[in-house]
Amino acid sequence: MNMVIKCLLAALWLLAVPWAAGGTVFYKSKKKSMGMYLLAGYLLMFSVAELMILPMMWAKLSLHILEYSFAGVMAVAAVAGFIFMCREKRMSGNGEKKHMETSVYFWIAAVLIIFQLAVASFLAHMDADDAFYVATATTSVHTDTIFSINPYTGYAYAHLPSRYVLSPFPVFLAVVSSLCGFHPAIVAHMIFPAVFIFMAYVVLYQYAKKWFPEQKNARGIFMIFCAVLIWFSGYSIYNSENFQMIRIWQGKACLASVFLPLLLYLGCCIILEKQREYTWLLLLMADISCCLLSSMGIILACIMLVVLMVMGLVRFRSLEKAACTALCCLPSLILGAIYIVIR
Amino acid sequence: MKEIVTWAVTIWDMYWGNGWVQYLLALSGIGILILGRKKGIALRLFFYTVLLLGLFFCPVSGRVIMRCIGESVYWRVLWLLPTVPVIAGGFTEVVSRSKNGILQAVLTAVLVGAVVISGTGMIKAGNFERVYNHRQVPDEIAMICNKINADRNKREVRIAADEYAASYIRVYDPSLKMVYGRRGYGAADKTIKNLYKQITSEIPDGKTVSDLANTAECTYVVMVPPNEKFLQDMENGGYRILDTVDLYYIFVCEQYR
Repeated sequence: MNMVIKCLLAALWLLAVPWAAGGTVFYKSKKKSMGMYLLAGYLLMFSVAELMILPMMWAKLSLHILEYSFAGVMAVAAVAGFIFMCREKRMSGNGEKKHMETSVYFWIAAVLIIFQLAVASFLAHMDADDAFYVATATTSVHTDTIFSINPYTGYAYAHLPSRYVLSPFPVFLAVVSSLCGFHPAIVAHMIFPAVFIFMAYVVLYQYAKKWFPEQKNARGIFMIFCAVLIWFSGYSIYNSENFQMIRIWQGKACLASVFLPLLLYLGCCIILEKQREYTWLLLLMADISCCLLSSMGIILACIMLVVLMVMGLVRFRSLEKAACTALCCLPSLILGAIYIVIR
Repeated sequence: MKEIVTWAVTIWDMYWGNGWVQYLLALSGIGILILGRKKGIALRLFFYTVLLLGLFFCPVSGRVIMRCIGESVYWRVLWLLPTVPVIAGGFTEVVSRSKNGILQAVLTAVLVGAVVISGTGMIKAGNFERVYNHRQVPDEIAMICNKINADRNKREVRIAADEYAASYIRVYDPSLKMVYGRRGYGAADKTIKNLYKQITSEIPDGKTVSDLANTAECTYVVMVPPNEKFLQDMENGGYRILDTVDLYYIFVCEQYR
């Protein structure tokens, strides 16, 4: 397939489709933005992926069945979301158009971020963990199977790796690679860094907007500090910012740098606000997304939600909020229980 | 209980490495308390951070979490800290106090300088390198795979490789099967485990490697030979040199082709 067509397909499946699918989540919602459409779309996409991959893996279905069904569901969600967005735009009439207010600081931050995207995409970082994460995707595509071949050897698994099967992010990588026509290693090492580092900054921009709603200069300065902090995170190999820059294609890195900060942001806006700003569904999908990314996400998302629940209880003494938060932890708890059973 | 706290402190030091970013976090926290306490999100992030640190250092919760995720990866709990938003927000609070544009720019530059001094740049930390294959695996591994593919002519093969090569061969080309992967994972029996141990030992013995590779029916052995004698022993054991890539030698056994 032509390289240009492959790049366009990657842009379609990794940017346009999730962005449009975000429209279904935000239908009739008051608080929304371009960035939140993309983030919500990803939450929907990852939740759909987790809910489709796990049963199909147990049923030993082939990768192409997963690929077509996943593409079908996401295409329907994207078309529906796009229709909702158009309808809402028409209903709101030709009223005042919202312009994104920017400052010179914002553009400096944008340059720093684009530089980071370029470095992460075009330069290589060798990480031996790829032997499992990326090789699982390459193996899945090559053999048209889901988690049934050992990526280390290429022979069938004697026992499924219980630690990893509940968080099948490598299978998501395999599906995206098949949909775009790229080799999974190219998607992981060149395309995912561009997409997910960009998303990490979209998440940070949501913090900036909430923290400094009226100060466009302050938002730009905030983003500059974020970009510099992330670039200068080479002081240890353990911090999440370092993971973000060097191996964001691995589920745990994406979890640490994009989805845990997003979960915290949503938690602050939903659990810790008297009038919640987003639906509980988003928080639930964020928890499921963390489960897809890494087995660590199953536990860490739960810990974060429990801390936020305690803060919410102290502040509002609302049992309803606590109950809803507990419900949002349910996917983590169920998967945790399954892990104990299958290990 | 004391060991858990000691371990948490060790992990805390390890997480921040040689940087001073933890002090920037503390400074920002103070900045938020003084300047940003009227802002909901700032205070929420501050109290969340305090609560999470309490949870991290508390021996009771620490023990429970370590039981769930494992002691060795307890540092991942610190991923829950909102380090970047808290520092960036706290610093921005300080800068945006000033209404003078020039002073704002100067303050921003000074605080950016503080971040630069406190951390280590990604390039300086040696995190990135240039490679000449789009799949971004080490170039020598890509070349090894291409040479094997040219030789095997689409026939199924079994490869034994050293630790470095074993980690990337199937990332580059999943059609190449291996007798074991990284750290010897996936080894089917004791012979293959011994083969892994021998190949990754400090000075591998050519006779033992060729004997074990023969028993495991390896078509190719990919490794850096330690000396000339090793090459001779491999040849005597039925593994001739197919080609070399940098320091790597690709040995092939005609019997298993």
